[in-house]
Amino acid sequence: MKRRFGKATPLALVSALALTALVSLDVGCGTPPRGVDWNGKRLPAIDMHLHPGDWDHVPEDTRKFLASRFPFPIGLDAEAAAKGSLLPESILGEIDDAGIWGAGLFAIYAPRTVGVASNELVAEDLTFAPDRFFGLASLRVDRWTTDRDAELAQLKSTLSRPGFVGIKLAHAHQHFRMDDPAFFPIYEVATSLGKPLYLHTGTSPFPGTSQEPAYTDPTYLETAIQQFPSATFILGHLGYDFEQKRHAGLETCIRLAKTYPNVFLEPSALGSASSDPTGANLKEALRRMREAGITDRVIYGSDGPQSPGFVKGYLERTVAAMKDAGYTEQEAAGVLAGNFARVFGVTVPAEAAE
Amino acid sequence: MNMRGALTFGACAIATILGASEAAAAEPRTPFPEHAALDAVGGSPAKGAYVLSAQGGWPFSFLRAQVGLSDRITLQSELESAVGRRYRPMLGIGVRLAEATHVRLTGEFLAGWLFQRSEEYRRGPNGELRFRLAIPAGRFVPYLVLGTRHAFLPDLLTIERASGTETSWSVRHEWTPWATLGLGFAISRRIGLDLGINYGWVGAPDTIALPGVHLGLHFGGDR
Amino acid sequence: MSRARLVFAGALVFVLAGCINEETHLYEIEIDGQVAVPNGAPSAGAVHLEFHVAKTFGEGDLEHPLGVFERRTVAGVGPVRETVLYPLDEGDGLVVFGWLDSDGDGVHCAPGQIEEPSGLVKVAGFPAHALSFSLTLRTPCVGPESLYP
Repeated sequence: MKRRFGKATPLALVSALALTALVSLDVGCGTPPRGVDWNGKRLPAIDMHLHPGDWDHVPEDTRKFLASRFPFPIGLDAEAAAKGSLLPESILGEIDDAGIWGAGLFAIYAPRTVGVASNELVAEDLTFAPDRFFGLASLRVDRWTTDRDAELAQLKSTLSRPGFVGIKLAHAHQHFRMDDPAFFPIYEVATSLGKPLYLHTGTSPFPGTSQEPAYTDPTYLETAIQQFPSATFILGHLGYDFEQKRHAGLETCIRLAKTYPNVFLEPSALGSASSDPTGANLKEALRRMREAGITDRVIYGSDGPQSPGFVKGYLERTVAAMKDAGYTEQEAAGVLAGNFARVFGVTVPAEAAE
Repeated sequence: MNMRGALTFGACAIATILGASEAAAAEPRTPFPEHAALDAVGGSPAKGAYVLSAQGGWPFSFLRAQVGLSDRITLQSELESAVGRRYRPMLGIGVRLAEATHVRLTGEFLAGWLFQRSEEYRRGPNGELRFRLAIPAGRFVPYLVLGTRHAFLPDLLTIERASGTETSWSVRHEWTPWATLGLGFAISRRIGLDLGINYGWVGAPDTIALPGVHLGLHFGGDR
Repeated sequence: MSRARLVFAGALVFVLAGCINEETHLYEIEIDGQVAVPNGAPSAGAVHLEFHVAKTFGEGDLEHPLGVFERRTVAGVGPVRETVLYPLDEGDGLVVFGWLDSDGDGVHCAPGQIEEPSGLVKVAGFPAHALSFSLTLRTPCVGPESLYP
């Protein structure tokens, strides 16, 4: 018996092991259940801050910057790596892996920094999952003195298209002051159409960013917030200093949210592994917002997709930080989806949490 | 390379090695002291001997030729590619530093060029100093390679002034510490395989690099 | 002999083609200017200047007006003489933006602080190694994006 099977046994054993491993990989794979587990209950989640895009519309300096952030050898073909992340089917895959039901897709016109993801591109991407993707439109501001009326008209037209629920602005990336009244007609559009505004606050690591206070410090938004009480201002990134990797505008954002009922806060990106290596800054932000009694003003976003697994990872870090800060189930449910639904007038279906 | 691919690749490699051992059954059972696999992964083939190597993997692949000029000195050339976007053609010399029944230590110095095609093109002279430690045990040769690579990337600055045009050169330095841990196997005296894990930290210390793996085929003989 | 030189030059070009990584072209400009405020307006304080390309070379959607390449701070309003290195590969035309730091805090119109005037001028005659400009700081608390094009 031993002699007959002696020579074939090693090969047979290896083959059997390999097959077993392959089969076991197939078992248990598949889309995870929807929602976030909160002490045994599943809460629906919406990630309001995701970036579709087109590598060809990213400026050269930014492409080099992004390529340098990929690990070797991924950065050797950064275009392929980025394109894989920026497609709507990839974004849908990322939110499915994270158990997230809905996603906000941002347009942006920032040719000096992060590039251009046009309203048309976002409109096309929305059709990929029209019941789960929500678009935030944007506009060019770099030729405002000559093209203002045309840009505002285009913005209004885009906002009337199905799936567009708000407006995305990034003063630091788009290079316009937060307190410049010349740009306040944008807030008039938001008010007249009832579309909330998402605004990037804080510095940015992208090349070409305007890092001066008037373009990054949320204090400079107060005039607009006061003048447009019917417009909803969502202060993204909580005024974080991404260059120094520290809180810079957190207390200002909290003060604005406590003072003005039309201010909401979004803690995306500041808690990523690269921006907050120890996780302390994200925990502090969520703790401070709870202490200030404004958890009903916090809307979850990640600033993904960035890289495979980032969307899921950021959600996990945020949920852990909320638990650490003692959020109740109701507060967490609001942050994760309820506040978005209320602000943007979206209905979260039962299947958003399985 | 995902987990499923890695398992399949590893299973195939092991099956190949085990299967190939059947073909070598005609060879003498006593392990032969010198063989292509040892020369390939341990370096410094003997005078008059040569070894040609083809190592394919992710992200690095290599073509390498070594010729023994004397009992201690080897001439070698190699071409390395990283995912088809970064190439290093190199020429160099290997020196057998120590050898015993179960040890071969070789030092190698190579010089050549770097060509990288990516969002940031890189090109310039490239040099490498590395050491190979092989521990032959019968047909098997566990081995370790440690190296340090240095690429010099010239930049050109041109300033047009009213008084004329000035040009000046500056040079950036790219450092890549390198390590390979692998296992060679002699199918016969002239044919060998190796499987190795590589870590090339390109652009250290300011970057992140992913480890890689390769499978090599080696052919050797007397000149 | 000339053939040998040609061969050598060709070889040199070939080597250099495999050798140059970043290639930067700069154009030196000695710029004389006058910075002023309207008659009767406060004029105390340093003046912060930004030198911009008027228009970048980006393709399609990526082309945009303005792009700062150098910043300078001068002691106050009045004559200005600076030498700047213009990035020829980035754009075309020269624009100068400036603002008066009346309160000396280094921040242009910080909230709650006094309003500080700014101004912008497109410099005529570009490209030339010697240029001049006249800049009046008359618009409070706006960036260059509000004054150009």
